[in-house]
Amino acid sequence: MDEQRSRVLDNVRKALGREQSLDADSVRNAHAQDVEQTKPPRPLWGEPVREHFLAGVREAAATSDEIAELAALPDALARFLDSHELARELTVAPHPLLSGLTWPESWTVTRGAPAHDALVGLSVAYAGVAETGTLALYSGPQSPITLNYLSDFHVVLVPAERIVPYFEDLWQMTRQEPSFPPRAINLITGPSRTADIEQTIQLGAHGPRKLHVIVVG
Amino acid sequence: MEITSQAFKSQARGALADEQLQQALTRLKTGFIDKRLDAVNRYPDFEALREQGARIKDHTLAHLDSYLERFESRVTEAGGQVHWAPDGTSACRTIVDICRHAEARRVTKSKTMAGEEIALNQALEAADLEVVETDLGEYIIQLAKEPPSHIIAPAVHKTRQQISELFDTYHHRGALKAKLREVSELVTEARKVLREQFLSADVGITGANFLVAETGSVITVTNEGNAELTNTLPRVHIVIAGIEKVVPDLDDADVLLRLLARSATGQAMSAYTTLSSGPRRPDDLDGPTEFHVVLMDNGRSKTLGGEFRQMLRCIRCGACLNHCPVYGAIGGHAYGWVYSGPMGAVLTPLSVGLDKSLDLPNACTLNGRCGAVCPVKIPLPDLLRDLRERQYEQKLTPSATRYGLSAWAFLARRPRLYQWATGLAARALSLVGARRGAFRRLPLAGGWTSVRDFPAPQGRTFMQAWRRQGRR
Repeated sequence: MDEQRSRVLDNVRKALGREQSLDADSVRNAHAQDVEQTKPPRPLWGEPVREHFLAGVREAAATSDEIAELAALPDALARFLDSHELARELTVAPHPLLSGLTWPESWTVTRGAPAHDALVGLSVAYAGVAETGTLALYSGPQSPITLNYLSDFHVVLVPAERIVPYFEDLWQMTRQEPSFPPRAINLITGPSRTADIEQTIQLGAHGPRKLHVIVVG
Repeated sequence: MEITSQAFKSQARGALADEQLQQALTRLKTGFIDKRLDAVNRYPDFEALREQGARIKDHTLAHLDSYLERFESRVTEAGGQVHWAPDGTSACRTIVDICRHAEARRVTKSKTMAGEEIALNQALEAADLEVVETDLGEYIIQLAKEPPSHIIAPAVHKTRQQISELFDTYHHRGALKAKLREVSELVTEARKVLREQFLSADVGITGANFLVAETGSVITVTNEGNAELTNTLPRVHIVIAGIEKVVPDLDDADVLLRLLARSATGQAMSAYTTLSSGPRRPDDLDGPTEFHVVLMDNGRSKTLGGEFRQMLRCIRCGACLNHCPVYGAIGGHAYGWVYSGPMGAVLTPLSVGLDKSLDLPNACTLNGRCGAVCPVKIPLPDLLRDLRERQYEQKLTPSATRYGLSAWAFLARRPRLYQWATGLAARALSLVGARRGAFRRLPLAGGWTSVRDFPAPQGRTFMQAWRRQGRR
């Protein structure tokens, strides 16, 4: 194993004309010189960040809703479930934000990672990225990753104050987390899709067929 | 896989005569090109973004050893394991060993070109593992037992009728009598079949679009969500990646991600971009318990030290294939290996040898579109020209071509003789053919006249006409 490691690294160094790797400072300085001096253009928009985020969500073939406070979440969910003629049955991420919430008694609400045939899942996004209408989900006890992919209908709650303009802003936030990097960060932009048959876009390839984003606040 | 690039000419002829393939290729020509252009036009300054992409890749390649070491440390800190593979054989062996150690029976795979490059599926099957591709396109060609014909749309050469027939054979034992079915029906059926596979797999193998040295993260980009099911449901997640995939930090990855989806499909962002770092944490509710990354050289360090280093910038978006008139006419299989189109015409000679892929650098009209759309500004037409030069230097170019070129070079270096000779030829051809306007057949030019007429000169050469006009 170690022999293969040094073979690869030695060949790389030979190709670069040196015997050992440069020290960390030299590499950092070279990066500052070669890459950081130019700030490449990023997508621009005129409307407020929240509006642009929602526009991106819709452009990616997802649907959206807005609620003023968390207490309105069950009603918003009921609207979504009704629009797709779904039973009031869902798997909910064990997220602290949702722990104080009371669900109507007639609903079947399961907490945790979803069963393999779960139809509807509710997650809480770590953040939203306005640049492309992307949801960032951060794995951990509060956010099982299977919830984002196994359910046919995926509903994601995004606190309004956690919508950031660009991906660089997202990384600034995640870098502050003690658990960073988590096992997985999923950047989700719209529902699952494929164009592998005759270039025809078909939603619901492997992941959710429908993605519904609810902004709270 | 077996390399058939030597047979490029006959394979290209076969492709041109294949009606189903031609039907499938017409669809390719519009979709990708228009969507990419629209996405590029909506971006404030895509050219500056491309330049930054090239800068990031060049910087990383110049410090590749450091970034690979840093990536390895971060993966280890996150509880994962990095394996190094000097070539394809050792990469396959490493992966098979991990599967054996995990006592695995079933493996699901998310699309990986590095895996295709080293024929990973055959190695796994030879070790008695059941392998299932989960990208819909890859799944289709796995059923058809064919290699991919496009980097991001592996089954682009297949028509809906052919896919209906494959699904009928493998999912219904022919009970549907090869009935043509709707796209939505086919996708739903594949989803159901593959969902079962995901849930029962022991190992998930994915490729990597990028490796982030800052965090030890593996970035995968898909539209289907199959990479995520592959890297979350099975007990063991194995990543196979070329060593050139590493980038310094997340902000650099942002630049390349902005380039990738726009260049590939014209999306601002693919549906799913995922960063995987290590195995599941103690309090995680799901995820694999083992996380392995196989860093594969397989000729890349040799390319790094040579004149084709720029080729290692490639982020496998497929834009050069989509914009290549030769690829558009013959599809990917004629190229005879896993990579096709302009990038394949450079990578194949570098990987399998120039002598085994003589026609590839010549299957190019030097129209320059591939270079103009490349998100990391790889000068593909220049590299193809360099490969032609190398063929000539290594005396691999056919002797008739070599003599022809030498004769032409002899004349071209002697302007007076050149002008006299071309003047003579133009007059002679004009005397014989000016009235008819074109030649159906010409001695020594059979290659040209077999597919089109040769226009007859009208008496004077360009130089003569130019001089006369200048005098006026």
